[in-house]
Amino acid sequence: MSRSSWLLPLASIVVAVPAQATQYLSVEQAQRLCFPAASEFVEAHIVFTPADVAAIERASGQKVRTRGEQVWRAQAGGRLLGFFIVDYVIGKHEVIDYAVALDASGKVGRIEILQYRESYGGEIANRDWLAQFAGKGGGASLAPGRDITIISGATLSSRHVTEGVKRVLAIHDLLLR
Amino acid sequence: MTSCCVEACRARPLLGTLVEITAWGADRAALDDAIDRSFDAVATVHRLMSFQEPDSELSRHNRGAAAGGLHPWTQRVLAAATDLRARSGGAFDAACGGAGIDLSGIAKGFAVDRAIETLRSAGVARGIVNAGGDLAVFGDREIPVGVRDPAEPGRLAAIVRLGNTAFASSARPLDPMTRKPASACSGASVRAPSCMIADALTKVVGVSGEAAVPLLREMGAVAVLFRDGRMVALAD
Repeated sequence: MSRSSWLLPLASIVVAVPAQATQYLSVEQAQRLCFPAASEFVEAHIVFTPADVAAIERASGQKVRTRGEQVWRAQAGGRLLGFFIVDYVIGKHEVIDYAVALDASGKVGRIEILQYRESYGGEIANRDWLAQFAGKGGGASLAPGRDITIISGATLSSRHVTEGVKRVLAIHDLLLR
Repeated sequence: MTSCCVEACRARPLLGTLVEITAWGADRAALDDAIDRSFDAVATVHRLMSFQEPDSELSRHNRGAAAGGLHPWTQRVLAAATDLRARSGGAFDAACGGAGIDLSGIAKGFAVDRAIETLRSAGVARGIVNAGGDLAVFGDREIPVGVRDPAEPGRLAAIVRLGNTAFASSARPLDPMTRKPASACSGASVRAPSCMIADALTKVVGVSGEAAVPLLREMGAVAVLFRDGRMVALAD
């Protein structure tokens, strides 16, 4: 197995999965992708009252962890095209920032992940140990987090995002109509 | 490569996971357009073949309520599932008791293949599609991919270098006979020419272990099996 050219086993050495932090899109990039026809994005952030929180939680069945929601009105020459809403969800090992685009009637258009951060704690990325494999299969040295950004195994669930979108829809129904 | 300098990486929740698409090419707007179409292909597979969504074509088919013929993509995946069931002696089985057919052990890989095909035909120079660990890469460069220890997902067990190939991992594969985790095996990863085949073969390797070697060879695949805290390379 050690002669394998494609597989580099890391057996017997603890190499923690590096804390993954991927920035996919900035808010501005996501706004343009979601509403290419928009001429302006007007800030319409919401601050929840305790009554809002209770109503959102009742309507969506999801916990409200924030004191408000980041909302923009996507407009073209003053006409409302839809809402651009930034929300985040927290899983067991990850925090996901994402954007939801709703059309003017509140129907979900796109969902784009803005940022994904994952940590299993106790991170010991053993760069020196990995460095000895530099060039083994051709190419530069490998450092988790820098070169090894793609990870296979232990499927990530989109369940939290799906639940988050339910909350976003409730916020729209109760506070943006 | 002179035509390749900009990188775009995007992710969307699809197929019950986060699907990440990375593409390299000459300009960002063209890449975003190609990535959008690539996500559309994944969304189409999701809409057709989701076992969980009652409105998917597969769910309607399972209820005997699919009007007209099945989409060519659904037909292809069903045919591949039938073929792999025969070739694996039942170690891969999409039949789900009385609940009809569940293609979740193969459709995710198929979706990755369609996403890659879309990027290629859009003229993207280099790309990676990763659907929660089932992934494929193409282009002019090998890409290092970390493989999690299935028994302890906070750790990397291996690094693989992938170029113009597919790679899928599955933790705790279920034995289709018993519907329980395949004994002594905590997970399996397979490299194969297509992600659909890699995806399906992770289940075969998880269930059959070394007995899967002839099938791996037949399909041009190699595998890594995680068992008793050790890694075993198969058909390498």
